[in-house]
Amino acid sequence: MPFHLQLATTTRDITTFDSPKLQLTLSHDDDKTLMVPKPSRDGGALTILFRDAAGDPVRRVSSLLRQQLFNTGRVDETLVLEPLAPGGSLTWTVNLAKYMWPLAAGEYTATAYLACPGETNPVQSSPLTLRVKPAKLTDLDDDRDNPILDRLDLLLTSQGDGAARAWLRQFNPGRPLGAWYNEPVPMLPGAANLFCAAAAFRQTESFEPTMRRWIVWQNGTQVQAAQVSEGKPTGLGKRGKAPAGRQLLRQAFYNAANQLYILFWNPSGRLECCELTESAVVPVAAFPLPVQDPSQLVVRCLDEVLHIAGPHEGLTYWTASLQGKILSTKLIHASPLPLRAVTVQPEFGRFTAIFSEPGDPPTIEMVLLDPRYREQPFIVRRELPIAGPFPELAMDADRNGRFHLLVTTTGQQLYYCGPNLEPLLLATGEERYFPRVLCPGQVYLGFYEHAAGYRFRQFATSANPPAFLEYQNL
Amino acid sequence: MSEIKITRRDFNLLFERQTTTVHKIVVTRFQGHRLEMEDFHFHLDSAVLMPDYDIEEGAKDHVTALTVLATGLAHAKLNPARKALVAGHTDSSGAADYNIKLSQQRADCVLACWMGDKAGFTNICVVKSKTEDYQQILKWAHQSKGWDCDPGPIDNSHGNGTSTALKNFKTAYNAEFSQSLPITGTCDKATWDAFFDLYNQAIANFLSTDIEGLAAYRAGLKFVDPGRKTVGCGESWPVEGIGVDGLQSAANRRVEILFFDPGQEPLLECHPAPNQCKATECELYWTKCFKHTPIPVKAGPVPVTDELLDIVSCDDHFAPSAETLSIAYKLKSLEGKPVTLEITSAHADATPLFSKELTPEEKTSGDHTFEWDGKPTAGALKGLYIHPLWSPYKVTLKSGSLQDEAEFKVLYHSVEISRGPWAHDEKAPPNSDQKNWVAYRLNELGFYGGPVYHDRESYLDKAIIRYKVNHKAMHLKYIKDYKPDITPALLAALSAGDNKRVDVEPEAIKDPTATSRIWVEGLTYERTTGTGNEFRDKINRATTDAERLNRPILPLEVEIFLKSKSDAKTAAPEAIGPVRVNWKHTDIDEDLTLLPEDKASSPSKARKYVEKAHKLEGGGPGMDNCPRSLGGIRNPAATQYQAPWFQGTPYEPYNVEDDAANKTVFVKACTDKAKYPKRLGRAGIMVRTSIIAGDDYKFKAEIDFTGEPNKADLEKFHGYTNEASRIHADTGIFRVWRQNRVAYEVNWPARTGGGEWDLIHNEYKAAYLDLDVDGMAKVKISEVLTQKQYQDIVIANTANKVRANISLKDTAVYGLTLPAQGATESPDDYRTRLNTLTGAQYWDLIVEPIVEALGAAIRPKAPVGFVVMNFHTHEAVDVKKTDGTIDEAGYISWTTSYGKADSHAMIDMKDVDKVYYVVGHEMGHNLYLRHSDNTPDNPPGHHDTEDHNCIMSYSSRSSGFAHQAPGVFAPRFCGKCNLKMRGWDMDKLPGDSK
Repeated sequence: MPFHLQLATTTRDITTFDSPKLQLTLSHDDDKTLMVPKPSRDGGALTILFRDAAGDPVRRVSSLLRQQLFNTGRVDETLVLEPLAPGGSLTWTVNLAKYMWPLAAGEYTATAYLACPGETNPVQSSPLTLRVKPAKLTDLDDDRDNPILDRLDLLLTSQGDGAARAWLRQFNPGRPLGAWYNEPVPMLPGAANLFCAAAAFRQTESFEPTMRRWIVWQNGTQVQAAQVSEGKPTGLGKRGKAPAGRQLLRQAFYNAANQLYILFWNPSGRLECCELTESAVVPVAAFPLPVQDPSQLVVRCLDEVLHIAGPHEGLTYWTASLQGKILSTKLIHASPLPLRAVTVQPEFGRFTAIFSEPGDPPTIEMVLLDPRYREQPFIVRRELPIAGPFPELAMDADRNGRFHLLVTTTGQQLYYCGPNLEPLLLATGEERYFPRVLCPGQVYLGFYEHAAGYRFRQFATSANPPAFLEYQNL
Repeated sequence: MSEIKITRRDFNLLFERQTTTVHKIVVTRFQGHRLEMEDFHFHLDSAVLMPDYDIEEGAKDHVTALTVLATGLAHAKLNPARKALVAGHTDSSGAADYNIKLSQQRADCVLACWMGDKAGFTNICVVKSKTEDYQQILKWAHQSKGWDCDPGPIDNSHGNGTSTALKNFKTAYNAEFSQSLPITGTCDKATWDAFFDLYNQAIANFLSTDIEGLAAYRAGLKFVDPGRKTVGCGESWPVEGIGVDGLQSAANRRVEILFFDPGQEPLLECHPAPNQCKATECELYWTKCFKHTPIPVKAGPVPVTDELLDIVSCDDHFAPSAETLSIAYKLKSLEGKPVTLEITSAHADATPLFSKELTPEEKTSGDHTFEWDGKPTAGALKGLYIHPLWSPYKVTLKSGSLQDEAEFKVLYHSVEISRGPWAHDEKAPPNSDQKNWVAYRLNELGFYGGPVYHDRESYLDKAIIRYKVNHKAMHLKYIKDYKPDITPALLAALSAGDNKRVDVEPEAIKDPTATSRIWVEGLTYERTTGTGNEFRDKINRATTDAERLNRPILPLEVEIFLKSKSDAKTAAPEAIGPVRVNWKHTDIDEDLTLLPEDKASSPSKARKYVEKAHKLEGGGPGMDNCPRSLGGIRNPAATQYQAPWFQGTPYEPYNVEDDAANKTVFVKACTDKAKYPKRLGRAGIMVRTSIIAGDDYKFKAEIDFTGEPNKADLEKFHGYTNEASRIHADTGIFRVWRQNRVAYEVNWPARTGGGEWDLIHNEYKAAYLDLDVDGMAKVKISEVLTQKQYQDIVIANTANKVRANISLKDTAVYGLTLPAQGATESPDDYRTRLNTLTGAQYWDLIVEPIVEALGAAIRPKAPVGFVVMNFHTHEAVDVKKTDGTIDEAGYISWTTSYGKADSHAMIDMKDVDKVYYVVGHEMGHNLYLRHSDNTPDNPPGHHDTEDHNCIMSYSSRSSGFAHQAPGVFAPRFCGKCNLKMRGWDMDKLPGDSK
């Protein structure tokens, strides 16, 4: 066998929130040019096998699995070959964020296998050791927008005894299994309350806007922001002093010109929109809103129109201009129950909302409005046979109004409540799970576990009993 | 055509005839006339002819042996050319050789009496008589002459009574005949002579003549063979108990006097010497060689005139209404006297069916032929025609004491199956009878509107809806919106004959070797609601099929033909009679080799699976159609005969009755001329098969005489020896096929690779689903979708809201400028983002509205049928490496192909698998097939778990079964998919082919 395959990494010691990058180098001893799989089109020729400390295989990844983790369509198994001259070598990097979800805590060895033309057995690398430690998730911000692609970014914060650490991870919300990237975010001392800004524009000229995002945080009275591209700082930053007496909302947006807007709640009952420039917080507009609990306000901006959803007589939806004018007010759903969570996708006019009321049994009301599929909202009210209150709630619904709900209890339990199903206990023992639900077709449930970190998993609701699907080709 | 008449004697002759010409050979029989002395005229083992058998006091006016002899003399006088032969017969008690001798002695005794040969008579009586013989003669003398010679009981015992009677007889005889017999109590030779004189006197008396006159009669007698006037046939030709040896039979103990016209004499080579009889060489009693007409004998004096009444010949059979029965007869000296011709049947009442007094012209002396049209003038068939079921018929010609008879029949020739009309009068009901008119027209147009005038099982409602679904002007978007109401648009379309289609191919109706298809509409993925997912909700197509489809109906009739005189097939519908016709069907074994072969390059368990399914519910060879519990109509073996037709009376005028004992249904032939003039002589049935593709039927109609009182006769006449020999007709094989068509191929852009429609067609053909692609319209996307429609769809369903940025291109689905690759974006990421952007976040979001828009544009032109859309997700783009060099030129990403509602198959042309597979797979979804191995959303229970090469799986190696490599993947539908497409109830099919 004339080929040699080397596997290396600069990050052998990582946490459950990290995704290491592996470097592969292929060379051969032959005196003539050989055809080898093109790394970007290898048709599954490369596989990397992870074994646990006992030597048992736990994960095998390949470019075919990578496709499966990003798209529901059929996998393209096209193999393209390229020449490798005598004495030459081919080096490429595999970002495991795209190939798999982060590894659970433990020690692993990774071995790469490459099927080369003419070779009966694949070329095998020497094993590479990786050590994964658990990390505690203390905050999670999720932002979904659509500057060119529908994207979902998770900003994970781990605040231990030392300085806080954060990671920015981007998903295709239609298939949140692999990540476009998963990068640690450089943190400044004193940074707290991190969240992301959403794109307030849409263009189709380039995929660049998909990769970029602004991260906003507070540092004392200062509000700061840094731009990242695929999780890495671009060097652009903004900062300014927050107006006195205002509450910074975890909502922000930026336009195609990179103007970044942040939002404050004025206790006098006004939503204030300010631009965060390189050196100041500049008021832009203010809107009086009849909202008691501003933490439940969701604000998105698209093409200079603000889309505001919040708790008022149920769920109320306002549109407003950046010139400070309320353009419209609409009651999406009237409910006497407290609003617990809301999402807005202005590009589709889509809303989801959860209302809940502690009680015995506790009552949950879920609402979906998606005018692409139905003019009237889908509404489901359920009494859950689970003792409340529910510190965390997350929900999404499919196009036919089937709701999928995750709730956590004060007893540190995580339950799934699907249509026509009794609640199903998924996990126990975590103070917070940061649950998230996506159901673009299939159902994906995201939540934190100490040993596994944070990941979305596909949940087969039609199985009996419902169960998680694993994408591991061992 | 030449005609040659021969007799049986000519069978060994060599005929030379010209070729290329039709020669008709008619075999004729010789004719004899018979006088018979039977029953009690001979005692057992005696050769003495008794003068009378009925000697009880008061028994008068009956035919005696001496009457017969007198009649024979009179017949000879009236027919001086005829030659006589006396034949003796015995019963089968005793040895055969002995019986030949005995029968010869009896014949000789009769001849002696007939000819006046006293010595001959006496010689026989002396050697072959018994006491009971002369006891009976003495009693006869006592009764006829009044002599005191009654011997008392005839007990074959010579006691005192007999002796006294003999003495008294001789005393009286001597006195009357001036003789001087010694008066003794014994029966000696002289006594037999005396008895002979009494016989002679009695014969003369019957002829009203004296002894001299009697001699004149005898002088004119001629014999077939003057040297051999008698023959003894022994026990060879009994008239009862044929084949039974040792039978004592008075009827068989008989002597016949036979007369023959010149040229009609029998050959007597079967009697080469006295007391020899070779029955196998006899032509006299071989009915196919000789016909013997009885000479009527009347009690009392024998009229001696030259009157003659004789049926010379009568057709053995004829076809009433199509031809006449020819009765040839000869009369002599009957002018001025009534002569009657009657036709009777034992199955009619006592009144003759036909009775006619011959006209003066018809009864002149000489030969005549009466042609009867077969129409009875009385009884149940008055005004109609006689038919085979009352056969045999008898023609009787009589005048005074003269009478002659002949027998004839009406016979069935054959049956022929044809397609029956939808209404008995072969006309559409009047427009005013709207419902039945609609049913009739729907049937005519191939939409199975159901039995006209007798709607059953909502046939009409279903047919109306299917017609509307298929009609351009009445097609609606959602199946739920169709109503079975009769609208002006429906009436107009039916009047215009829109959408006429073939329901059943005709070849197999008349050709038993042909196979014809019965078409059933192949239902595809319909729109049941605006937002629901019918594909998920209606996974078991058997349920939908049963709701939507009518079982195909095919009216079949047999036309029944009669045999003409020359045995030719003859249409005579008015003379068929209410004969029973059995309708039977056979379930033909499926040819499993039409299913995919299990081979390494394309493994398949389809044959094994289908074979296993055939055995469900007691199935197997001869019973492999889909059983009733799985959506078909196959019954258990005991009632299988009942399945594929309407029973009762929905197909007017026929009544399909159930004969459970014989496991058949049957129909009586129509005889109601007044009400159903066009259905006369036919027996029809309305076949209704299952809707399961691949089910097949071969039909048979047979004439069955079960239930007729003369069944045995009728079966004999028609040569029935077993069920197979019944008159019948078979159809060929009718096999149910589903029918779909590809209506449109929408190109976005046009496919550059081969369409592989033949392969796709063949794949569905294995499930008996015919996919018509010949009439497929090929259009560009811009010919069925406008720019504005497209923009509206994109704006409403994707995140792209700027109309100016969106344009409909014939080159690819994605209608915006493709994003440029990011400066740091890897080739993999760019390809994946392109895929996500143009696939999941564009194509997937607009595919449903695109399907709706295509449906809205296409369905008014093609209401049903597949719409296959070829597409590229986006236009080709170059993918670069991060160093700016080209990684892949002209890249087009690959997204999802879909089988969508309203029978749309959206085919991504970048799919690396074979075209036939991708198209077949997506169209499979339109036929309610779910995914199999290697695919998302593959719920259990839909496939043969032993077959991992189903077309409804993927070729992907990334998980599950590897199948073959992309591009080599050659899948076939698994057996479960195959049967599901045919219409079998998927829920009840086996899980695997093991």
